[in-house]
Order: sequence, then structure tokens, then C-alpha cells
Amino acid sequence: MGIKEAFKNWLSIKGRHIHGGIAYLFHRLTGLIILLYLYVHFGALSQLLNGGASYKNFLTTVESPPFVALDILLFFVIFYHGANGIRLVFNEFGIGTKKNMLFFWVMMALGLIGWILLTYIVATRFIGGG
Amino acid sequence: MDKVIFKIKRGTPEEWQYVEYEVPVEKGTTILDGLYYIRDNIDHTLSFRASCRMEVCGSCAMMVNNFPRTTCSTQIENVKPDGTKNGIKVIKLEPLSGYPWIRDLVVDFDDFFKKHESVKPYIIRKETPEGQLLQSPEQLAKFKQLTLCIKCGACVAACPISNSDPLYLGPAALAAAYRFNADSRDEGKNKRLAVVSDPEGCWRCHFSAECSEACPKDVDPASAIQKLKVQAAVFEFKRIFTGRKDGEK
Amino acid sequence: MEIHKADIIILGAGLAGLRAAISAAETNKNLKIAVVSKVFFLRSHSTAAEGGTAAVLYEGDSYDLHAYDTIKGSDYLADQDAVEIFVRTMPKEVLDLDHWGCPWSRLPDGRIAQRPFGGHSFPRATYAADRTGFHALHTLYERMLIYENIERFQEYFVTSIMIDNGTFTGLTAMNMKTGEYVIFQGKALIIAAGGLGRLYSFTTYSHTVTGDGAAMALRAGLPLEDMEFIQFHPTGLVPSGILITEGARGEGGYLLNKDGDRFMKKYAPQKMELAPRDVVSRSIMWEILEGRGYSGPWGPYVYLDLRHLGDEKIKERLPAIRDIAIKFNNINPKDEPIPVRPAAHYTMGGIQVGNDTMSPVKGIFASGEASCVSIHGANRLGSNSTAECLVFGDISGRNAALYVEKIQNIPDLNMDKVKEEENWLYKEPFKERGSESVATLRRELQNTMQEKVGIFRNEKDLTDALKIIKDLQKRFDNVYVEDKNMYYNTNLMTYFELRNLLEVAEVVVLGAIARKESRGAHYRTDYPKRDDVNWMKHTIAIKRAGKIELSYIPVRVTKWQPEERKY
Repeated sequence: MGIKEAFKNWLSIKGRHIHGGIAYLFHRLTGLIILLYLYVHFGALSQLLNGGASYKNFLTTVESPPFVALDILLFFVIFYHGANGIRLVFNEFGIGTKKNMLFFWVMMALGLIGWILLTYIVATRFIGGG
Repeated sequence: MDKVIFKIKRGTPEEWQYVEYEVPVEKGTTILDGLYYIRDNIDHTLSFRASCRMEVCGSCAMMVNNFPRTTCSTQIENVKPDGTKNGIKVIKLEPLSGYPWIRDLVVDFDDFFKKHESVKPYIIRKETPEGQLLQSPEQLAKFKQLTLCIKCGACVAACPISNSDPLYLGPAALAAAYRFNADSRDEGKNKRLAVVSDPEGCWRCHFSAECSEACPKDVDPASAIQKLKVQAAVFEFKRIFTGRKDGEK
Repeated sequence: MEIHKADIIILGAGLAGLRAAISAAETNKNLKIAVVSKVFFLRSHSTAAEGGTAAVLYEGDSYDLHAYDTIKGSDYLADQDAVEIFVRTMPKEVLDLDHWGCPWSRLPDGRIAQRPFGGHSFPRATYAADRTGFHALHTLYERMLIYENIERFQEYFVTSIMIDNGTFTGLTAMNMKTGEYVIFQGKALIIAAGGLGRLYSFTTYSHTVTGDGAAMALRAGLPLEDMEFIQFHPTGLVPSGILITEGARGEGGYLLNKDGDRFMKKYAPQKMELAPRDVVSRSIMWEILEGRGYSGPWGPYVYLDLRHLGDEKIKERLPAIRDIAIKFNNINPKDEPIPVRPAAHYTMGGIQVGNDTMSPVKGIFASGEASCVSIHGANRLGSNSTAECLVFGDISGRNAALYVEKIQNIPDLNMDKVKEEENWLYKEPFKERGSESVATLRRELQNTMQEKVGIFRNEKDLTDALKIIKDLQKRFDNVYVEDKNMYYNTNLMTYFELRNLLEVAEVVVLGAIARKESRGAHYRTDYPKRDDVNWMKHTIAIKRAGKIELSYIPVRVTKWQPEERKY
């Protein structure tokens, strides 16, 4: 199998299950996004090198609503990756593999609740109130 | 009488196309019945593997609407169509994915069986025993479900890892390894773990569990591989502390 | 052209073939053994065996009892010295499988479990749920992987057996993956290529069981024995013909006619549903002929009722039957009875061999269903076939190994014959002529055999059948292979298979016409009685100059004199 075909198969969701192959694919893609964000985050932190004033200035930019909206999207990715990741840790120790589908949806529900809560907190702090 | 259209991927890797055939359907007609109907009545040149037609030999697995199934035990009326054409249900049939394709619905299984062989899927004992090896029904129950594997290869075709990494041992072989590790008559657990605790062995599994969804015999290789990982982790630990490659004391 | 050389070549990789391979490899680790099969080894039809494998394991049972049951079941056509070897070797085979990992079902104390089976007077069918053949085959395959001197040739379609000066020299074959011509050269051959059940339209057999071994042996001039005896299994699932194991009745299942009667009480008052298969099959057909069967769009049937066993017992003891009923007929056996009708199931006859499994040609052995030792005589008891494959597979492997040890060199092939075969294989099937297709001819053959050479036979039907078969053999010249692509050409394979079926069909019918009596599975309505004076003998068929000649040899009797069969 050539690298092109392998990559195509890796990305494929045809015939795969949401709690199975699709969850796996999303887990990897969200992992990549989180990795990318980490570099962006380091970049942001390195603004400190230019002095405190410059960093404060930078913070006001990224605390503006469009950036906060992006943050909320990022939380979604992180919550998915985290919730699914916890399931996988248990699964790979042989726990809950037989009720895999139920386990997946319970974790998704927990993740979703967490994400909504955090979104609410962030939104009220940076956009609506505060 | 009802009809259905089989849209079959035909040809060789160099030259291929989808060809459509109309197949009559009655209650209980399986996809394999339909394939035989085509070969006997419409196109004698259609190539596919089949033998027992009772879901025990493992010959006839292929992709049915992108999902691997043993066609002998898949009734046409139970398949969700891939679409319709002129109001007739269309079923798409393709060779198993993740295997080297030979022709029409036939793929190359050599690598599959080589991987199965590589995990030492047989009882290993130091001495030949005399008389019966006693085994309680409870001990048997620990691995019985895993013995039902018919080596149809559907699990490998469903596995996203096998489909993108040809070196990965794959669900069938790993489940076979665990089947023997869990057998109370066996004494060769470490020999098997030395093979499977490899980056291309059980650690390559990321538990998408598609293999268990695809398995026609409910073998549940996904669970077996996770249990194998626990064994392999312990084995690796021992290997580090004893310094012995085979992990034996 | 591929050329492979080996000391022992094994044709067929079912239970008998794999058992022979293991046995030969164990006898001498230095021998090179080649196992050749037209399918992947795990796809062999042995995998479809369900109920059990007979062996004397526990107190209360005895070798003599097993032998007596087998001989009585055979309608006294079995060779009794062979049966004695068989029953005495069998327990060791069960233990070997146990040591190699076969997941036998267990008693609570951990010992191997056994269940009752038709015609056996002791519950001696050793079982692994209702997938005994499947588990046994997989166990042998896995065990075989240990031996480095066994070479595997999977998906090689063997087309002829080469014999020169009365000695085996090699095989010609086609590698199906590539379409290449292949030659196997060896000192000894073990034919373990199985039966010929796809002669019939309603059958429990896999699609691949097409009498290839018997047909090739016939062409090579080997004698076939007792080919007229074809067993019909009482319970083939309607409409597919899938086997519903005798174990279902062994566990207590009932056979019911349209009136809800357990009709077996009329035909076998003592054994009821667990009478031998020939008796039960005939009883079902009588019920159907007398109008007490059900009729459906796929022909008549009776019911196999498991409802009273309860869900739990069905799930534990008969999981595969439950699976089959649900997946293929949308029936759950705990709620509904299963529709069944007798289906072609086993070939008692085969290549004539002695108790050492050696055929009259030097270097050729045969075992399993392809051979006729004969331990089954006119009717095989259930659970004796997987047992036979193990015992005589083992014996043939060992004897072949001892035989080749004495031979220095692999004999030379007759290259003219090899070339001739190659020419035939690659030209003849593809010559465009006529418009007949493999499928039409096969269908006509199967329908003829089913209707005229089935459970009940008579002179007129049989002679009609012979005429039709002769005609089909002529029409076979009008068949050609449309598929010119040599990669995995199934069109070509079915062509070869049809050729083989047509050849063996003739032998079956000729033997049946000649045998003017009713014995075991061979029931002549015009001669409904067994005739021990004239017919207690084996039929031998040999092809000479394109013509099949029949002759007879006596049955070997040791201590069991023929008596009336009552069950």
C-alpha cells in the first residue's frame, strides 16, 4: 500500500462508526490541533520577551470577542480530546471495552456538559458581563 | 419478485470499473446467492471466493457498502442500500480494503495468514502430556469466544490502522495470540508476548474497535487486544528488571 | 512454469490432509512435505462438520461396542478388521487434539464431554459445542504451523495425478492466483481431497466439494470402491441445505410431521430420532411421500423441534445451530421449529485402499472421505467421519513417511504427459464453440442426481440418469471458458470442477444400477431387501480405455455376523 493510499484510508470515514473509527480519527485530528495550539501558545507567551507593556497590550487584543470565540472552539476540541482520551485510557486497560458505545456517549455527554459550563463562564466574563 | 442492483468493483488494480447487475431477491436471499446468480446467469467471468455458504469457512468476506461482511450470512433485505437507481435498491460490493487486490472481489490473503502464523497461534508445552489435560468449563469460558474466529479477515479490513499501516499485525493475529495466552493448557505465553509487544504489535492498536463491529462471529478482537496490552505491559516490565529478552525468570 | 519437489505430497488440507501432514512430519523431521489445496486450508469443507467425533473414552463404553455400532450402522458392509483398528486408535486422536489446543466442551470436573449420537449405543460423540469440525480443523492447522518441514501450497488447483510404470511420479496443477502451470514431483502422494456432494442440488456440502480427488484418481486408473453409497443427512435446513447437526437430536430434539407427531416411533421405536441416518432420512421421505410433510415454496419439509430444550441449553450446546437458524431463516429455535429435509451429506465410497491406507498404485495413499478403507460400509454413523479423517489421516501420514524413507530419489516425470496436460489446460477450455455454460450443465446434472439417484432409487430412474449423464458428458464438449484473464479465474475453476463431477457421477450411477439390493444408504424400491448371499461385497470401479468397469471384492468379516438391523 502506497503512502497516498494509506493516508486516504487513514482519513476515510466510509463504513466506520462514530464511536469507533470516526472517534479515532477525530481524536487524532484534535490531537494535532492541540499540538498546533501549543506552539501558538508558546508564541503568545514569548511576547513577554518584549516587556510587560507590550504583553498587556497583546492580551487586550486576544481578549476581544472574536478571539474568545476561537478560544471557545478550542475548548470544544480539548474537551472532546480529553473526554475521549479518558475513555481510551480505561479501554486500553481492558475496562469497559464490551460496552464501548455506551462508554463513548457517556463521556461525550460529560465532555459536552463541561464545555457548555466553561463556555458560559468565559462568555459571561469576557463578552457579556464582568 | 423484488430486484436489487449489485454495483461491483471489477477488474484488476491496473484497469477497473464498477459494473452493475440486476439480481432477483426473495425473502432470505443472501448477497452470496446474488453473486452466484450473476456468475451462473449473467456474467460467467465474475470472480469471487466462496465455499461453505454457512459462515464457517471464512472465504466470502468483502466490502458491502463500504463495510466488511461475510456475504453468505448477509441477507440482502437487511442491508441498508448505498443508494437507489430507478427506484431499485443499489448495493455496492468491493474487495476487502487493506489487502493487496488481485482481481474482482478477490484479494491476497498471504500476508494475513503470515501475520497469524507469526504470533505462534498454537499450544506450547515443555513436555508432551499423558492423558487428558483437565480444563474446567470456567477455564474454557475465558477464551472460548476467541476460538470462534473463522479468519475471514473482516476485522483487518475494518481496522483504520491496518488500512494505513501494512506492518501492523492486525486484530485477527493479536486476538489469536490472546486466545492461546488465555488457554489454561498453554505454557508459551512469554514467547507470544515477545512477538506482540512490538511497536507493530498490540501497541499499534488505538482501540477504534471497528474490528469488533465487523466480526461476524462476535469474537470481539478489540477487547482481546486490550487484555493483551495489559499482559504485554507486565511482560515489558519484567523484561526491564530481569534483563532477559524472553521475559522468563 | 513452477516446479516443486517434495518427499510426500498431500492433496487436500481438510482434517485428513492436515492430520497426515502432521503425522508424516512427526515420523521423520527430515522429510519435505508439501500440502496442496485448491482453497486456503482453513476453508476446507471439514470446517463445516458440527456434531462430534466418536471415541471410546470412559467407563461403560468399549471398543467392541463402538465397533459393533459402526458395523451394524454400515449394514454389514464395513470391513471389520479396519473398524477394529479405527475404534482402538480413536481415543489417542482425541487426546492429541486436546494437547494441541482443541477447545473440547468440558464436564464440570474438567474432563472432555461427550454426547449421544445417532446409531451409537453409548454417548461417545466428543464435541466442541456444535462446531467440532471447525475447531478440530483449526487446531490441526495451528499445530501444523510448528513443523518447518511442511510447505503449504494454498489455492493450487490440481488437475491430474501422474503415474508411470505403476508408480506415482507427480501432480500437475494451476496456481490460481497467477494462472501459472505448476508441477509437483514427489515420492509419495496422499489423496485427502474429500467427497463429491455437489453432485446433488440439495446438499449440506460446501460449493467446493466437487469430487476432484475421486475424478483424478479415476482418470489416473486408480480403483474406486462403493461409490453408489451416498449418505443423506436427515436434517438439511430448507431452503439452503445448510447442515443442522445430528447433535440437535442427540441433545433431545424431536422430528415432527404435519400432524405434530413424533413419527420416528413408527420406524425406529427404540432409538427414535437417534436411529442411523439412512433410517431417519428414509422415514422423513416416507412421511413426505405419504402427505404428512409440510409443503413450501422450496419443496416439502418436516420440522425439527428444539423448543422444549429451552433457550439456555440451546445457547450452550447448539450455539451454531441457533446462529444458523437466526441468520439464514430468521427463526429462533427457542420459539419456532426448524424446517428440514434430507440432504446429500457424505460419500461412503472413495479410492480403494487397504487398512494401511495404501492404494494399489505404488506411492499413492488415500485417507478421509476421499478414501474407502472401508469402515462406513453402506451407511456411516454420525460422528464417525471426523474420527475417520483423524485416524486414517494419521495412519496414512505415518505409512507414507515410512514408505518414502526407503526410496532414494524422486522418480522422473514423463515430460510428454506433462506437456500434453499443459496443452489441454491452457487451450482446450478456451476454444470457442457451442453456447453451453458450466452453470446450465451443472444444474442439469445436480437435478438429475437429486431426482433419480437420491434416497429412493429404481432401475428405470437410474438408467435414465445414466443416459442423461452420458449426454451431459457429450455436451460438456460444447462448454467453453469465457474468462480469458488468468488471475484467479473462477470460470476456469468451475469448468474443471464440472468435468470432475461428470466423471464421478457416472461411477455412482453405474454402481447403483448394478447393486440389486437395498443396503444402508442405497435403497432400491424394486429390490427393497438386503441380499447377503449375492451382495455382501464391495463394488470396485476402474476406468480402462475410457470405459468404467465394475468388479467386486468380498467384505472382511471378523466376529460380527450379519443380522437384521432394528433400531
